This record gives sequence, structure tokens and C-alpha cells, in this order.
Amino acid sequence: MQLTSVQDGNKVLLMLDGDLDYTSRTAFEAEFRRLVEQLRSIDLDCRNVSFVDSSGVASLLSCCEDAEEAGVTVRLLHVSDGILEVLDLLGVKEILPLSAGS
Amino acid sequence: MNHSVRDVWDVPYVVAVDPWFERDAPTLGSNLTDAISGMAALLINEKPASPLLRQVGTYLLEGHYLDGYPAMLCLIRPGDANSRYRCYGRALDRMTAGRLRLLDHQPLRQLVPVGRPVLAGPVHVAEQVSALRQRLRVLLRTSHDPRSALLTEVAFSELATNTAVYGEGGRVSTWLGPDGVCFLAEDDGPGFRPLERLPSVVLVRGSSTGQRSLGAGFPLILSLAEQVSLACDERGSQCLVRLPLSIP
Repeated sequence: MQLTSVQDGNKVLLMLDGDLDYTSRTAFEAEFRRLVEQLRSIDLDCRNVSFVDSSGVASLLSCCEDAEEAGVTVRLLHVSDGILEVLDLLGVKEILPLSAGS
Repeated sequence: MNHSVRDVWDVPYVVAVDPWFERDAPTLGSNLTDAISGMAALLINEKPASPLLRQVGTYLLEGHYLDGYPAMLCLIRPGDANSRYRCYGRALDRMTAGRLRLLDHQPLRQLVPVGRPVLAGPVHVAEQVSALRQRLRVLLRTSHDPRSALLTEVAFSELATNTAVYGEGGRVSTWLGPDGVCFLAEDDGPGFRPLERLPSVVLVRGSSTGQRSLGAGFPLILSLAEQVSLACDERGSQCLVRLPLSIP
């Protein structure tokens, strides 16, 4: 999975591109945690997330929990209907900070 | 985010019982439920049980609960190694209305319905899972609508990742037929043993002991599949998953 970030002050937009699974979660978590240390707000643009499974979702959850603990706001933007259904099936749709986005 | 992801389904708690000593079997009647629930309560408290019955079978204890879940008790034949295994099989079959079967060890490959083999490969590390999944994605483009293709990929990923990561590695094969897709995972690991953990692993979200895991992979496979067949023994385990072309 490709990760591209665009920073604006103490806010960042992180673009996720590709599959979030057991293999790609480590790199995602490392980058996300790096951003949590430096910033107040993280927007995850998920429009190009092509796949997520329970490993990927565990990763997202864990990252969002860490951010919340650190007082950093996270939003998941532009999640496709297909990916949203997977989140729902795994019982996390109401837990993740999903946002309609702009 | 105050919710816990350790969400659980409302499923029965299975207790397999060895009758401890022989008794003349009384007529099964209105006292059955009380007798069995008494036994079950004693078992949960780890006290020796005095079995009143030696009728082998699987009983759902109506109105009785263990740890908050409806209780299911299996009476098994003493000295019969297969009896416990079959008992869990019956219980799981009943809990899932036939969707999950625990079969005697046999090559599950023989149960694959009509279809052509389209993909197979070792899954010892997660990178192999991702590579196989990418190939599956291409294959499903012509046979599946996008939504069903994604959900099928997810089921594959859960199954293959479980095999690689928790099954000590193995192999996953895929068949594509007129009525759907079939995945067969074969591994040499401990599989779903011990049996006592099997119901919670396969049915209950959040049973995983790993901190990095939701423990929700197998329940997700089960919710998407038409049928899942499991066979495991000390040599290893197999899991056959059948999915329709269009997932409802």
C-alpha cells in the first residue's frame, strides 16, 4: 500500500492507496504513529483503498485508538461502499471515525 | 470511541461431558433439562458430576445459561475418542443451521463441487497470501459483480492469513464453478484444537488471544459462505469454504 501525506500546519491529509492487510499494516501503523506524534489532526483519504480485511481493520482501529489517547483527531474520508460493508460486517462501522468528507 | 470490539454473538456455550460411571439410563422425560443443567452447573464449578444419563447426544438447555450464553450440553460415549469430536460437530451444525460442519478426517478435496481449479499456492508467510489474492482479484473480474468479488477476496484473505499466520503455514487452493467459488485450506498446524475452544474461535468475534488481531476472521468467513467444512486431527487441518457467485 502507498502512503502519501500532505501537511498543512498541524494538520495532515494522508492518502492511502492499495490494500490494507496483514502485510501492509506494519508500514501503515509506523507512518500513522509518526504523524500522531507530530500533529493535532489526521485525515485519512480512503478513496483508493482497494481492499481491507480483519487484519487491516485491526490496524485501523488500533491506530485510531492511539490517536484518541494522544488527543489527535482522526477522520476517515471517502470510504467506498464496498469497504464500508466490510467494516460493517466486522462490527466496527460505528466505532471508526468515519466522515463523509468534502 | 468507548465501544469495545470484543463484541460477541449470541451463541450457545458447548460443554462436552464424559459420563463418569455407568448407570441405568432412565427414561428421558420432563426431568431431562433439570438433570442436564445440574450436571452442567457442576461441571462449570469443576466438581465431579454424577451422570444420571448415558444417552449420547446433544441437548440445548432451554432457559439455562452458562456465562450468559444459552447452554448446550453434549453427552458422549466413554472411551470413544471420536465421540467428543462428533459431539462438537453436531453442536456446531445445530448452532449454525448446517452452515458449519465438522467432518471426520478425510480429504476434503473430494467434496469440492463442480468447478475448475484456478489458483493454488503455499501460504507460509503473509506476503504469499497477498500475492495469491491479487491473482484471485483478476480471475474474479469476469465471473463476479464488484461487491461480491471484494467480499470473496476478503473471505480468501481471512482463510489464507489464518493458515499462514495461525496454522503454521499450509496451502490454499481455489476452484471456480458455475455456482460459485470454493477455497480449500490445508495446513499441518494444530488447526482448531483444542476442541473446547472451537466454538468460540469460529463463532464468536473477539476470541483471539493476539493483541493485533480482531479475532473476527473466521466468523466473517462463516457469515459470507454458503457452507464451511472443517476436518482436523493430530496431523493437521483442512477448511473448505463454498461461496456463491453473488453474495446476498
